[in-house]
Amino acid sequence: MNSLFKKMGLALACTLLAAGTAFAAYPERPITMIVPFGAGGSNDLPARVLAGMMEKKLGQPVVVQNVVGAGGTQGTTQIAQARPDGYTIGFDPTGALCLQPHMKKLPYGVDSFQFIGMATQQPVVLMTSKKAPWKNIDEMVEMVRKAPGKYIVGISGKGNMSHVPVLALAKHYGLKFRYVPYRSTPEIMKEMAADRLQFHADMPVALSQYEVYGLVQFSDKKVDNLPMPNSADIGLNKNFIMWQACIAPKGIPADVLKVLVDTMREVVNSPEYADAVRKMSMNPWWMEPEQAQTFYASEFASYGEALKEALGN
Amino acid sequence: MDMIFSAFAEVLSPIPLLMNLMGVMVGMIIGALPGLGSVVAISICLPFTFGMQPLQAMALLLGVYCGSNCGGSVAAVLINTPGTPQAAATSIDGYPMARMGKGGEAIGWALASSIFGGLFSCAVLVVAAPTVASFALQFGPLETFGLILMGLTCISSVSGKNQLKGLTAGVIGLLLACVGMSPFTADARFTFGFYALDGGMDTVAVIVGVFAISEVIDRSERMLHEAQGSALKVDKLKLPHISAYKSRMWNLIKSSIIGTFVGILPGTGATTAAFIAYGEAKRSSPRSDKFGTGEPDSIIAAESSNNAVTGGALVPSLALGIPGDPVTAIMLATFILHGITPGVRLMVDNPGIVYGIFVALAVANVLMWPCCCATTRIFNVLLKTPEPILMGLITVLCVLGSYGSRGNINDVAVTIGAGIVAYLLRRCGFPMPPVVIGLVLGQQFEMSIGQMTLYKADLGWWEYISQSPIALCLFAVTALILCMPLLRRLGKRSKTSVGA
Repeated sequence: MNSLFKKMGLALACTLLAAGTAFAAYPERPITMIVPFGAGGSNDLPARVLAGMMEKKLGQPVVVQNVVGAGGTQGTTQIAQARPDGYTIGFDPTGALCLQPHMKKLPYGVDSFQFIGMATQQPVVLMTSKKAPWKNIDEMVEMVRKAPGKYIVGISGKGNMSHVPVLALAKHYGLKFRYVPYRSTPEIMKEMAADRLQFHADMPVALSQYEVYGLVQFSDKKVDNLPMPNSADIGLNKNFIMWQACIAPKGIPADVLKVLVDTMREVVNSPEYADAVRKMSMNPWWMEPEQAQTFYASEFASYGEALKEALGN
Repeated sequence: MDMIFSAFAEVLSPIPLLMNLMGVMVGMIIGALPGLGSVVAISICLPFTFGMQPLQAMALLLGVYCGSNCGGSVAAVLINTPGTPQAAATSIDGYPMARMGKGGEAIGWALASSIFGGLFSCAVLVVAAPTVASFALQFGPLETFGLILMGLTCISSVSGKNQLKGLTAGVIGLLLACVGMSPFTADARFTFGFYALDGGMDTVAVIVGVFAISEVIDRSERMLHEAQGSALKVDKLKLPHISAYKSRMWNLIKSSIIGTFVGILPGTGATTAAFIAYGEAKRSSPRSDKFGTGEPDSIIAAESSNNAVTGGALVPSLALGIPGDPVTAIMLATFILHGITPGVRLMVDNPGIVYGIFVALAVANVLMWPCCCATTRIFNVLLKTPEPILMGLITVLCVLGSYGSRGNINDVAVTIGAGIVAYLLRRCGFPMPPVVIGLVLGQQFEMSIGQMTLYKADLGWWEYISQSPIALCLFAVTALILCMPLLRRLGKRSKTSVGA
């Protein structure tokens, strides 16, 4: 019996050793890309596009795994706690990385990740029903001011990217909305079509999908395909940009990281990738890992302040 | 009319037809595996659709959608392990039938009802999508609350003799639904400081535990005392004769209507539909006292309603661009990837694809027949293995399924824990369906109560509720359902007193 255990131990040690020395040939087995939201959503589809193009260049499958729950924090936790060997990477948006850690205690924080690079960016847009009594932001502000607490904003979670930008806008103009949480964008859009609620802040892709139009985009740059005022036009000097990044757990070996970064850079800068994400009303956006890391730290801090300001805690 | 014919020609051409068939078969098998439901099945097929023509992609996805809905019931009937949450109600009577050696018959009832439900909802979709969709828009939080409340009354009808134990089980389910992040305050509840519970109880994990794991423990315990009985009799799929439907026709139609309508409402789903239809059948069936012992009426209700959800969920998706459930949300996302914009103009701008979907959905429902026969055959091979090995196999499938549903290892612990607790509760005589009903309806129930309160704001309750005739109707029906037994008893008493 004893010798059996010894043999098994030896075998185990050999396997571990083999795994340890295998880095030279990275990647030699499939890579898992964790997406912390459900399949088919606006966080899942770009990830699948990216994974599909990366696996062709890497010569190994990049398997998208949806780990759903608690506003994306369950999946993001799994990325942070994965073994940093380059075989588990993640595709994560602003909300789960920058907002959620300020809202509650989480097993990950600003220093848990190694960025591989940025994938997409698009401004948050405040949308309203085409049936609403206003036609532009000025009329809207005037009418909402006259009836404080009458108009309703549908949000997909307290303190997330559908909530915080609207809070900032409301504060800027001194408006009073009511905020009602829903579980998904389609449910909010149903209520909007029935005229039970009037506003929702979301990614631009919803503009082409539903009977809504954009009042304002929370960005100080103009984007070609979004014909509406931006936050600079209305004097709100705040940016709320949804970006999506490819990340790995901290401590990933430098040579492995280099393979991933080189592959991803090539993909994100390719015209095929640009075509594919533009179909989803997203913009391709590449940023080198070092800059992305610095950018993330500054975004993390500024969202912390925005939340403090907006929710008053 | 030309549109329909050309759509038929297009869908029935080799490649889309093959995609449809493959979809149904893949969906059926994934659906039959415990824990892996429609959403997982669709996610697996999604990457393959990127390189296809839009119609081929839709044929594949619709096939998977229908197949997975039906496949769950095969496992539910034969091994008492609902392959998908929406098949949980099917196992209540399907499994007792299988234990009596009528497994093939039970699957036949399930299949025939599924096909009927699917085709019924497809007909509603074709004929009345815009009208029905605009009616569904009138369902806000208040109306949804009324509907869910009505659904919850079926806890009492599935509780059997001991109402107190049934209600307790229902409350356990409702409390399980509250575990995790509150949707209104971003605080975690009932997590006892375990971060892993922040994501809440996965419905799939709990259902697999409550039905399958507890059954495995129960069978293993019986194997200790009882002589090795022959396992389930292997039985080929037998479709019920049309005449057998005579006295059950109204149940079939009613359940299909319930399924279609619940499917149309965004935010609710096939599981909700199955339990509401089950509760309604239990209330109104002339054979309701046999429910739970292998009564086809209950299978008819559960299966026709859960498959009718498919067509129902497509109604708002195609008419308004608002998906009725997570699966149709993925389908609409596929539209966008193919450069087709869903929304109110879809039917005007892309009639070809819309008619194609109508036809593909109908064809998928018909294709369920051969695919279900094949799946049943695979299962029958499985059932020939000796019971101890079969039980081990089921446990392995349950563990894999509960992990696969959300990709979260903690859900495996939930499944096993739920299984052990459910076994103990069963031993104490608590019925299990109320737990699942509470859990499934609980999340939407809580959501609608919270939203309702926010919408009401400063209005008085009566002032707020009286604005909605639909909600008033639903409340009245709920009250009537709850008072009916009392009234009936009073009526009987007065009759006997008159007689005396």
